Amino acid sequence: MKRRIICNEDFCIGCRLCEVHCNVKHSKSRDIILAYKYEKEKEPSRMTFEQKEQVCGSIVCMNCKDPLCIKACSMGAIKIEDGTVIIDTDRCVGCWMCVMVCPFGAIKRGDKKAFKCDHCHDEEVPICVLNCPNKALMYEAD
Amino acid sequence: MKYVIIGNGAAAIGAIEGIRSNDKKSEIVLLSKENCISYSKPQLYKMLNEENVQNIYYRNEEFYTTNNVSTILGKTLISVDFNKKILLLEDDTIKYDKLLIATGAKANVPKLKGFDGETYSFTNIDEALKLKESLVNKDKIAVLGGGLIGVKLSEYLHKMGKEVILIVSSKGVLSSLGDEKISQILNNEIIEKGVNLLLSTKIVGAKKIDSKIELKLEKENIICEAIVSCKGVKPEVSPFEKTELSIDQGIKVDDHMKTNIDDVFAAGDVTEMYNSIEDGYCNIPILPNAYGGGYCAGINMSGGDAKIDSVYPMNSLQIFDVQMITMGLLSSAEKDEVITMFDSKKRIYRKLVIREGKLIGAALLGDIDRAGILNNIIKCNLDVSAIKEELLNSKINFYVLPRNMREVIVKSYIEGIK
Repeated sequence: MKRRIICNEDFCIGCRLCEVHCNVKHSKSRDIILAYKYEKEKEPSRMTFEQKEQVCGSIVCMNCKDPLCIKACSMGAIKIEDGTVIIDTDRCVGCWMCVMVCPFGAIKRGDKKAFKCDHCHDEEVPICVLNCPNKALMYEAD
Repeated sequence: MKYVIIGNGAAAIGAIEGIRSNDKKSEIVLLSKENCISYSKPQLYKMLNEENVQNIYYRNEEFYTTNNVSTILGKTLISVDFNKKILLLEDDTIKYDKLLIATGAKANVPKLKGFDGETYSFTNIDEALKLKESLVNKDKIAVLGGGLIGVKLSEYLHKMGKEVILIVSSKGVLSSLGDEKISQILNNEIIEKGVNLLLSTKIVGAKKIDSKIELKLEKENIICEAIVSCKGVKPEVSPFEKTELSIDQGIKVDDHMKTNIDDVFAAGDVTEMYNSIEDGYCNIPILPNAYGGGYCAGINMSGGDAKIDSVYPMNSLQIFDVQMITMGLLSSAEKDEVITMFDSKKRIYRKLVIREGKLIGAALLGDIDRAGILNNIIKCNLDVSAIKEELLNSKINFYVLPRNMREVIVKSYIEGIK
């Protein structure tokens, strides 16, 4: 099964709540108030919000059929598990070969480790999709 | 069906995974002259200051048993009889039905006039360990060659506390990239960090004087304790030289990774492939090409039909504190349009090379985030005439592309259409 989060830009108004809820989901407390007001180390959003004039939307890892990041990884640290592309952070050494090849710019640079959307694999529906007020973010699984 | 793979690098691993995606049962034999499991060549530098070779393994130790691969490690291939489909080893022969040649590349070690001591190289684990061992009681090291290996090695040796003299024949390091500005920025960075960088310097010869070495340059002589030659690599084709295998800069393969001989495939640093940007066959020794080529070969060897993506050089590097990604062609021809951006305060440099409206090369220094979006624009041959200024000056943004283009890109990667 492949999980996918697709943004319909006709409905995206750029509220960036997807980023907010992504941060909360990956925070220590998983509580929106605590995460934003009291947690010292902020978890960066896995989403990238993009805007060009009136056109906007969010983009994350598309779980490509034939992922270029897996081929480029110099440590063999990227693999597909249950249809989701996963970065093994123990193996990742931050060579950024994945950043070099991801066609969506969906892999981000953390502290010497790459990270990306995990499609909230422990949730039925990804949290950004659940909280998108305009239903611009859609969840697909095949 | 019996598959035989010669080599144990990224291309070989790619081939195993490619074969096993189609054929779970048939026998796979892997032959390698190196007596260790697959490791990541780009991470080889870490062997100098890490005790544990496991830290640079490319796959875990169970990989071969999980994929049901029998390995013959530490044995050298003498030659191949392609008519009889037999590999000849020193004391053995191996039959194959489908063969993959993934022997990689070996160091170019030029002979130094008048020198009978050891010239070290740095292209595999044995060479790395040999160098590491010899460094214990040596402090002043001369590194010859300002390519990627020479520069990274100099950085690591410097970080180990050694006095490093990096001797480069051209005007700047990484000159083969074809971008003077990049070379200049890196020259400055390397010097600033404390490596003794000698540019436009040719070596005339060397002489052993007790435990030291006198290195003769055109204008001066310098004293060092060890010499490491990093004058590039060349495809390891020696077992195939007297055969009918088509070899030019490397073993010539088509877009299915087939050689000119039936049932013989090749992948990785040993090959030359069609480079869409240069419009010619090139040897491009980088890991993504090796794994991708190996995987493609594996699928085709096991009865599938896979075509390799367009290939061109690309790399992601960090030299001391300079982070950079380069891709495609950076040495422009007269007909090309070159646009650059340089922010000396933030230490950001960006360059785009555009030919007939299409992006054919890009360099990102300092800010490399989302470089893959540019890489995909190169790969898909998209027209950037209307968006080039934005691509140069703004943070890289997927939405800079028109909607129809974005939708085609998303669809092609989700469905895996090439």
